Amino acid sequence: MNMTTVTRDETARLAALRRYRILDTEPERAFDDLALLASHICETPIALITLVDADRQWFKAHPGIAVTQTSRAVSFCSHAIEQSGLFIIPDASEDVRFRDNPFVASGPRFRFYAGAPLLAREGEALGTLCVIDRVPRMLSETQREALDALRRQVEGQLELRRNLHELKIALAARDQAEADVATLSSLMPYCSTCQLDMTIPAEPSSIPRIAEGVTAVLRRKGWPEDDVIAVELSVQEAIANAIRHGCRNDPTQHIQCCVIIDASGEVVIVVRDPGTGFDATAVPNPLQSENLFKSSGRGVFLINTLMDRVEYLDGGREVQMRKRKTDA
Amino acid sequence: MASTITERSIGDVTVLDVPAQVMFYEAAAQLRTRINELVVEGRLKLLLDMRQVTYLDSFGVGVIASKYVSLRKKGGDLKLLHPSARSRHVLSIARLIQIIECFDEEDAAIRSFQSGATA
Repeated sequence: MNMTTVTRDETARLAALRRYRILDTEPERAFDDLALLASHICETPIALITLVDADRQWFKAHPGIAVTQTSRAVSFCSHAIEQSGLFIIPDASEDVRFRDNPFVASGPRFRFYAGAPLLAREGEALGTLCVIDRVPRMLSETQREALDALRRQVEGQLELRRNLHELKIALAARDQAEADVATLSSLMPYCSTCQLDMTIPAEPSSIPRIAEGVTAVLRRKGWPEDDVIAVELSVQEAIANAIRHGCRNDPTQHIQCCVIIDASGEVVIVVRDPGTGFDATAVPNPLQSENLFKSSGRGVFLINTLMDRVEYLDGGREVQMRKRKTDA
Repeated sequence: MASTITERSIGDVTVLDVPAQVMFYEAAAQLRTRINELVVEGRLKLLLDMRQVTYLDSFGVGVIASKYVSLRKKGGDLKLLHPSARSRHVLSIARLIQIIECFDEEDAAIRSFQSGATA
């Protein structure tokens, strides 16, 4: 990826950061989940959502590391926000800019860093979504694309958070305090809605990565294990069908996958492929005696059995699956 | 993704230790190929040790189902050892758990092949 150094007005950048009112706030599940997904997808022990303040970088989410902030003087992300696009350091010990950094030369001995700048709606770089490893390495093209997709989701959460804050102020000015509380309470579920839009290459390695990412979020949201397994298996089957039938195992083709997990306890998964589609009603029932021992034809049946509601749209090119969390 | 399926013989029973990823997506074809080779060699009593299998999907179920019936037709048998609760659940949805014998003890599984169940 080409990188260009961007000259920024630091005063304007810090003013934009202040408008998000996120520094030193409590951890939030949506950010924790997205950082966790970045760590899973990029296969690194550490992922961070950082906000770069005047003289420090503060972590909104930090799976894999205990500290919550560091000095900006030793910050990799300070460099990342000066770039447009993904900033990658394959081996910091070999990089003249970072080899004497205390996090590289001693302490945790970081080696690999990849950071995607998080942009404010005004265009200012606020911080990064970054992944860190203690061994030198690179990201695959798929991982780069996924990290960039997650970066967009973090930006979306930041905007949602800022919008909510601004909405709170507007409501407080307009309504009586009691009415405000009721209205805000009705809005709160939307704060924890998690929506992931992904475009993934049609290759088998995508299957467990996406399925494990979705299930990691469900487990963190306290879904029962039986429900998690049902969703995981359904995602695997839907993506496998899209790769095998929709893309004919051509890894240059892509599958769209959208996962929405809302606070009301429902997950909606949409998998779309570029193929010619199929007639879901014409798929033979694998439980009929003549089909029971066939080597194929169970994927659609498993999805239909495991999920609450399944729709095949656009001539079978798109499957929409829904499942509601089972009450404890 | 090639994974080694290790195997050992106990009497006329061949025990295949199935690696985790071999029951998932098209890697399951590797198991199908190996079973076909064993059939050519006359090894018709197969016990699949699924201790390592974390993911069993419809591809893996397809291999188990199709090879079970083809071995039975030849006078052999295919049984499962140590399937996880998750694998049992998937086999149950496919209505195969009632048909294909599953064991948690290897000795009991081996003995079952000798008890005339494959006649």
